[in-house]
Amino acid sequence: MRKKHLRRGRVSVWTYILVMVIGIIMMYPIIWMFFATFKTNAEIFGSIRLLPEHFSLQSYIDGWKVNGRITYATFFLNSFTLTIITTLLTVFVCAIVAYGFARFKFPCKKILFAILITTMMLPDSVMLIPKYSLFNSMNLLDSYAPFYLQAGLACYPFFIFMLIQFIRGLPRELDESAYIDGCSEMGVFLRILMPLMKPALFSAGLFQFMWTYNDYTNVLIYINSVKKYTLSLALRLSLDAESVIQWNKVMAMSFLSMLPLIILFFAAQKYFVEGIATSGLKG
Amino acid sequence: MKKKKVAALFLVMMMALTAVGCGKESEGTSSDGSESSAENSDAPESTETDAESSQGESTAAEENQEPVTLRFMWWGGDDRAEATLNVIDEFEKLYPWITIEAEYGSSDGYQEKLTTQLVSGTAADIIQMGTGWMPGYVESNPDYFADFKEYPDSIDLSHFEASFLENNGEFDGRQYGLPTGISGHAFLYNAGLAESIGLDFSQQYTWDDLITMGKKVREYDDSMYLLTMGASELNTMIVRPYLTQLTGNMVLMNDTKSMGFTEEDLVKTLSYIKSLYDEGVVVPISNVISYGADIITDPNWINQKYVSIFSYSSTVETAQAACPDGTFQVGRLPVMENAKDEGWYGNCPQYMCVSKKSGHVEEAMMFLNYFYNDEKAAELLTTVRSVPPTKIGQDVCERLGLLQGVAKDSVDMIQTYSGTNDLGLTTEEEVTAILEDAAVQIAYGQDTPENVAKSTIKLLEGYLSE
Amino acid sequence: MKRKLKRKQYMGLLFIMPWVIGFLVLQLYPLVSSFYFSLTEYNIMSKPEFIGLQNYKKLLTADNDFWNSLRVTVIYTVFTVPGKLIVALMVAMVMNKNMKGINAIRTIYYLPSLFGGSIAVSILWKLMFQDQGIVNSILNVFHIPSVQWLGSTKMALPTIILLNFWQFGSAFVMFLAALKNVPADLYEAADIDGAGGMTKFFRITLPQISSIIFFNVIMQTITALQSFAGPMVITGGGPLKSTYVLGLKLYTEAFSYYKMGYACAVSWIIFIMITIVTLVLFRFSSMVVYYEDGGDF
Repeated sequence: MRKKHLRRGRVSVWTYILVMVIGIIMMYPIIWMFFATFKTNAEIFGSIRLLPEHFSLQSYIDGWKVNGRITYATFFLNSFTLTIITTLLTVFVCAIVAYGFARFKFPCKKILFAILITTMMLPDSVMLIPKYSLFNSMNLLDSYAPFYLQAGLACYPFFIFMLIQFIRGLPRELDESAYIDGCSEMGVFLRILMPLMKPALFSAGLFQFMWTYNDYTNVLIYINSVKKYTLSLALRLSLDAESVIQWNKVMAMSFLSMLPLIILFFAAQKYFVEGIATSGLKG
Repeated sequence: MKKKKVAALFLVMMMALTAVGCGKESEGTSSDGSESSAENSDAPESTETDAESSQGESTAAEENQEPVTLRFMWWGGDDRAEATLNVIDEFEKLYPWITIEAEYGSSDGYQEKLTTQLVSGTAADIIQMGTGWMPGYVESNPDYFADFKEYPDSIDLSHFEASFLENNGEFDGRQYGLPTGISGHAFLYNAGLAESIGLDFSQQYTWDDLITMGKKVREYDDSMYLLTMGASELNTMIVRPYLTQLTGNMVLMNDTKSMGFTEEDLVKTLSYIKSLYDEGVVVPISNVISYGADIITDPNWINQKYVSIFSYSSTVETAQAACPDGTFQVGRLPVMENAKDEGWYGNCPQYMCVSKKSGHVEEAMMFLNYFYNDEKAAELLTTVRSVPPTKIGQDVCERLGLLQGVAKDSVDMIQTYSGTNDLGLTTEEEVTAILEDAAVQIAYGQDTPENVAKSTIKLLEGYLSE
Repeated sequence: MKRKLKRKQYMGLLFIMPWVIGFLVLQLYPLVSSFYFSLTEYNIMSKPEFIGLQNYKKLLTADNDFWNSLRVTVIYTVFTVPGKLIVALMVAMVMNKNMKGINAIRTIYYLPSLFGGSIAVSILWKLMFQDQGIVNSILNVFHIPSVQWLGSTKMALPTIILLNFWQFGSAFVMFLAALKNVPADLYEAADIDGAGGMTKFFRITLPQISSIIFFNVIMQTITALQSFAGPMVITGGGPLKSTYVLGLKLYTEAFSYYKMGYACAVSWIIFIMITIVTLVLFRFSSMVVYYEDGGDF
């Protein structure tokens, strides 16, 4: 314990105050959004007051019901299904691919790595239609399969690259000694590297969860049936210039949809900020 | 050791396989799934159902119908979704072998999705369509949509006014779209404010009168403005009608693919816009530009600092609702003296289209026949897509007492004008962007009307030469 | 070093197989087709017609918007990337300390990034930055005159860049994870040598997390050069195209004007720009980035 204090140092009162003040600015959007769920449209747009004139749960009740045929329960469930499966697949498969790149020398590795980086460089807008027609020809439209397929086939070079960088930050001596102890290549990955990569895996997982959860364009293009809509589609259901939008309902549901992400971040951070006990291994 | 290696290999393979496996589990889309196709020619028997008599009528020979699934895609708010879903339910009761899958969502990204689907041949069978997109779609591929006139057995078009159909949804003699309602440009004003300032919009006035009235507003209270306008309004409500009134032509003429105005005309128009800003008739553009298409969310509109707004019949109610403390009325639209064309015209907010690639064009037509011509459907739909375009729909809404308020007033108002509908080249997105840019440059005082007119004409020539 | 031979190097190929398959099946075709389309006159809905380098020629010589967009994009990138990363690193350094309620504080600092795609946020920005919005109200309290944040052609781009700093979350999370990986004994040794905070930061912290900094520089640059969501939602590219980034031009050409061929040419120009920047960065990185694996890649 004493060692820890020595290392991290103490925080001065001023730092504390500064952190708190900036923290309030950071929180402003969500606080505003929370109060906006109780406001009328005129209050939301017409005044800069933060507090609403009345508090009532009606916007949450009405918002949840959508139009009497489908409720937000379906949308939450869909979002969780899509997001959790996609995230798990992405993290696991990308980690293996990253391991392959980071720790092995094989023919054409440099070229393959260059290709990997290259696939990130072309803007998505022009890939949208060719990709769509690919999934159409595989008969996978109006399902989550395009997302699972892309995750399972490691089509997220961002995460591969990110994990490569993390693995390269881990000393090779670790796996060398494991080989001496008789571990196989996969064994080294699963037993030695995976545990050490926990912070990286959790941050990758968090990003993928968040991005899939918030993704609008791809879900919009691939999903047609309302019963398969995710939250991001559902939240925009009532947005239309030609009808009077009840913004408090939209805000209420946006606020609810934000909560799982906040909870996830709060709960997951202890893993990605978990220090690695490598110090003893390094000599 | 060996075993582990095999295990590793197996693991990697499995992952690839599971990924594919997930894919296979998914259900295919309905668009190309089922069997009976367009030759299902005995279906229309039941479509002869008259608009008036469908209620309670049990359709004959429905047992031996092959089941048909149609996809219907639209955008819109909660009320529209609710009403449309109810109509689908009623229709499915009458035609039990037809199932309609509703695919509704927001207007946000709708066009991108629709484009992607049309290109890939996966579009829904029945499509709600933006009027502005249609010319582009039709021009690039006339085979996207079915011609309603070719299916007289499935859909009865006689309840529409013929000239209205001709102006709304007909392209080269083919009825690719059916108007969903009657709509048009509208001028909405805050009646309370107008009265205390002493403004009258109930009599025909000119563009120059607008400037006089604008000055009056500034004299009354210099925190107020007569008009609020974003980039889009500057184009649709000033540049286009002003030019058309000046020349009697569309801005870009569809038949000759050329400009319907001279450089001098454009300079005149832009100079007029300049005077609107110089005299403080319109809110400075930098105050409102950031609201984009949502200028009614401006707190100054909500707090009654602006007297009036140019809008559409389909949106006047939202503009009114945004400012709950004001009382609103629909005024006349400005027309210059000796105008060669009135420049204002009635049109429709959207079309309904049927995808030609649909295996069930006739059933889709049958649904739209019900949608437009059935009394029960009209009762359910009311005015969720503006004032109905058919006599039946209008009568029902009249009977239910729904035809009142600013939306109805603006529809009545626009029908007193008979300008030429300039849908086509003039309303193409790229042309719209060029014209908006020109107006916004003037509004910002970036350049003189002469210079902006020159550069704009160059851009339009570039567009036309493509 | 001889021991390295123990691992079967070809196994690497096996491990990267999912990605190779994914690339061949899902990414190769869109990539190649987009290049081909950039050489064609291709309205999204009709057959592409080969026209050679015409699109590129028009883009570089006859399209004023392009040069404007390029300028805007470069400014946007040059300011957002370092800005965001410096903010992220600073916050991560502070959050790496032991504080009461640190978990909650970290969550709070991550909130703006969670918010990213929310419709509520685009509304909120407009409300906050409008003429009588809260930002100007606060400025007025300190007797600073109001600013037209989004309405003036000079301020719109800086405002959008500023709003981007706010969402430093992803870099922040990675820096946090990387900082935790810096071996404590290095600091302890430095303490014994009596090194100051600055020395420790530049001699230990920066080199130790350089691989992650490098990753973030590359990724943020790629993202910034392609980005369009922020400007599209907040200003729509205006006023007077002052925030009309290349990504937005590309999107507009493709989905509003249906000029897919032209849009593909824009995207390949973005592609070439990114490639050059990335190559330079990779070159540069071999000099400054420190890897535990001894730079053996």
